[in-house]
Amino acid sequence: MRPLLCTLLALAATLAPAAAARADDVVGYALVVGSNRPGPGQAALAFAEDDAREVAEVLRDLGGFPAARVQVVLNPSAKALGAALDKLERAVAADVVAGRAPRVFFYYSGHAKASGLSLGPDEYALETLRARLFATRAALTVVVLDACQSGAFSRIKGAEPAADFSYNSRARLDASGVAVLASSTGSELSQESDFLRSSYFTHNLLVGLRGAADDNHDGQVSLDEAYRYTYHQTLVATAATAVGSQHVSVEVDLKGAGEIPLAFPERATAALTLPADAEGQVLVVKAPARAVVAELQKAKGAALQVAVAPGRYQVLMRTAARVVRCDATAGPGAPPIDLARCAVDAPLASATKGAGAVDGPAWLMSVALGIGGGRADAYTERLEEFGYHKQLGVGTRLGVDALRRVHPAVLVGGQAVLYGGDEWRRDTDLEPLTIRWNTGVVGALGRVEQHLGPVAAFAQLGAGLAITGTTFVDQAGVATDEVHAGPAASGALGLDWIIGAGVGVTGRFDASYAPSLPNLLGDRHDTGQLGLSIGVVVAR
Amino acid sequence: MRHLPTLLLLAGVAVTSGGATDCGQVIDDRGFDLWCGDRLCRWSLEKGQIAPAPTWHAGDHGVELVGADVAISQLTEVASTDGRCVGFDLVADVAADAEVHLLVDVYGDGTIERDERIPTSAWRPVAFRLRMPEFYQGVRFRLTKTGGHAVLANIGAAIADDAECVGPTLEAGLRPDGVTCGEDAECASGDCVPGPLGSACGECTTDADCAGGDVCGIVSYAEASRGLWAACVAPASTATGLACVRDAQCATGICAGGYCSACRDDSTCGGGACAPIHYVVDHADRDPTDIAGALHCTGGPLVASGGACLADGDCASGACVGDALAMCTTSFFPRACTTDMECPGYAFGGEPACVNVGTRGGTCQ
Repeated sequence: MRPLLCTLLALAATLAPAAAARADDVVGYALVVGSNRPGPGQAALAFAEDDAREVAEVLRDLGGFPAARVQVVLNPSAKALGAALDKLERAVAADVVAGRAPRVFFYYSGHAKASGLSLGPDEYALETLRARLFATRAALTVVVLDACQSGAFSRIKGAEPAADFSYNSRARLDASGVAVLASSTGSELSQESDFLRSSYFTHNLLVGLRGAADDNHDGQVSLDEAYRYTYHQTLVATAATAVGSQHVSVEVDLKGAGEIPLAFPERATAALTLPADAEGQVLVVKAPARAVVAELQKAKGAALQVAVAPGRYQVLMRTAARVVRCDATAGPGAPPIDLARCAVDAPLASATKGAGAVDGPAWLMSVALGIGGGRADAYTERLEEFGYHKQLGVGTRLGVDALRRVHPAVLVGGQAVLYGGDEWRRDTDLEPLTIRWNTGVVGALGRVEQHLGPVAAFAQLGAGLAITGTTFVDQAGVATDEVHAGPAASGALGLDWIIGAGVGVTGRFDASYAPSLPNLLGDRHDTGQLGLSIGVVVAR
Repeated sequence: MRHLPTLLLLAGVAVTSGGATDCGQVIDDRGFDLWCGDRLCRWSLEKGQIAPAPTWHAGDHGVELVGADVAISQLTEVASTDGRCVGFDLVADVAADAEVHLLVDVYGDGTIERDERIPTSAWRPVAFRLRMPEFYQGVRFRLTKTGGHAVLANIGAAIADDAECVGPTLEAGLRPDGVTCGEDAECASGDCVPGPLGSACGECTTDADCAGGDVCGIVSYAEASRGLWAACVAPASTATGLACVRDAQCATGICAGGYCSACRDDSTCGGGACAPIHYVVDHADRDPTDIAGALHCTGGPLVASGGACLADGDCASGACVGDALAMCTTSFFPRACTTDMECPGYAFGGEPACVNVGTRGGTCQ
């Protein structure tokens, strides 16, 4: 399960090119804040500060914000954040006095509570943040919050929630005012992804700003385009996670009319262009670091330009039938990717990573205890023929599974299982003849799973070696021990329910096959069982 | 039917007439588990050799019939009062060149009432269902083999449900001596000799029935399924300590208390007392058994050399010479024995049943 990003994503304000103002009069300021530090009772975040750096980079490269006017504040205290807001306020005020129309973009990624931003041990009150941002004299303020329940921030006076993601800013030319884009609704959690090394929301926002959200192919990504793209992609990516769906929300209080451009991918000095024929889930990976730059869905029909930093990339395009792997270089004048020069991997039967993709914990370990029944076969029939009677009606099972995730829905690992076996007895005039056995199995294990909120339904198969130890007691009471070996196979269907802190319970129906106990007459007993087990599962 | 009032002790000869099974099981040591050295403790080796052989597990033995001609048998005490249907089961490993038979001898009198061949088998179960005669008392099961390899295991004979026995009924002949009877016509001897607790087939009721100067006395069969019965015996041939009904059959000329004894009353003990010898048998799960046997002189002058004795203590020399006298502790009537298997009920009791009590037909040195 991915770590939660319980952060409040603040707002980014961008001052749209108000139609009433001349282009030369428009200036933009960005305050980008990232904090991995947890507040009391919270876990540290992994990628909030990285996300802030990425956002600042995109604003500088594609958003039209001069580097000198982009403040990046990482891991700040409440006092440091207040100082950054002071600086922003002073700059905006000076521009207003000079007759310009300043725009403000505020971005926050980190922990938050209902009462404020969690900045390590400090808390910066939301009311204060809201008042400070809205008190600037900027013509347009865009606030982007990537935090848990960040939708709760945008309870701004006069703001109206968009009816749905189809909010269209084109109807409002010469827009001015406030727009708030939040990573989740007021009651949801925001999530990070180990695979993306980012939060789902910020990753999709950045991919959209790099060009993937440019629906009308006008070379710009507007607020509503960014919102629609981020809304869809974040919802799809989080639909099958253990935490659950995450809905990006937007609220606006705008006057006038006109689009609110957030990024200008056409102005990028370097870009990757996916040709019109490209389709499927696209993964753009920076080489050689193999960092995921973008993960997006592309349909056939139109080329798509994704603005990136100059350099070498690997682009993977995956459909249900194949994986196309392309090496590409982004730089000035770079041509579109030539699919004919890309490698095509073997068809993937289960490599889809779209709506059903799951990105669960990297490791799972479970310990389960169960009961089951042994099998009747030629070996036990032979025992009956020789006058033996079964003494124990129910067998026991104790198993340990350790699994590592190799695919969002596939885990591989190993297992060790101890089966408490049967005891058979034949009475004699002296001591009864008795044979009893126990079997231990070690082997490899593979699992596929489907997450349903905090519950994962799974099916798994295992194969390995079974070792059966027997004790035979003769009529004189003398015990003789023997050890036998044989192959083993197992299968299970079950549910893992992660309750909290990576710990949960597991329940499963087990079936195992272990023909590891021979007799002198050529029969071989399957010491496996059919049974039910319950236990504890730990996810990391 | 003639009556022999003097043979009161014969009345209940048939201690086995009530049948004897262990929860329906007929065969003793069904798994061939009890080996006394190189022989089976509970089975009689009639010919050839046997050896333990591993079966499904090295620790669970069957019996291999070693050699070209082998026979083992067990005389069981099963009787018609136990049931009419006897199931006989075993697991067999019989080679194609071996011929193995199950022979059923009702009464154990040597007459084979059923001969079943055990088929060639590789450790598969074999079962027979025997519909027994309306009356039977004791069955000897005999297993014979000629030819090649044969190992038998988990032999069991048990009373089965009557519905399982669909074959023909075994035809048993007239009853041999010692078997319970109701009328003379049932007995091979033609004599059903009654007693207060029942009647048993016998040879005679009076000396007149005997030839060659023999007297009509009492004998016991060597195995447990039959009891005592009236038989013609040579005069003065029954040793001291054994059962008797007439003075004439005893070597001492004294039949007292049902035993050939050394004295009849105190008058012949020179001031001592004529009293029964006692043998006390301890049991694991019940009170000791105190059995009164033959009479001998105690408390008086010791017996001089040449006199009859039952124990060394009877003699002035301190030595009573003769064969060991062993008696069944499980028998309701005095019954001499040489092994436990000869004693009724021993098969299911497990305790020693044939105990040494003195000297049979002893003479003081």
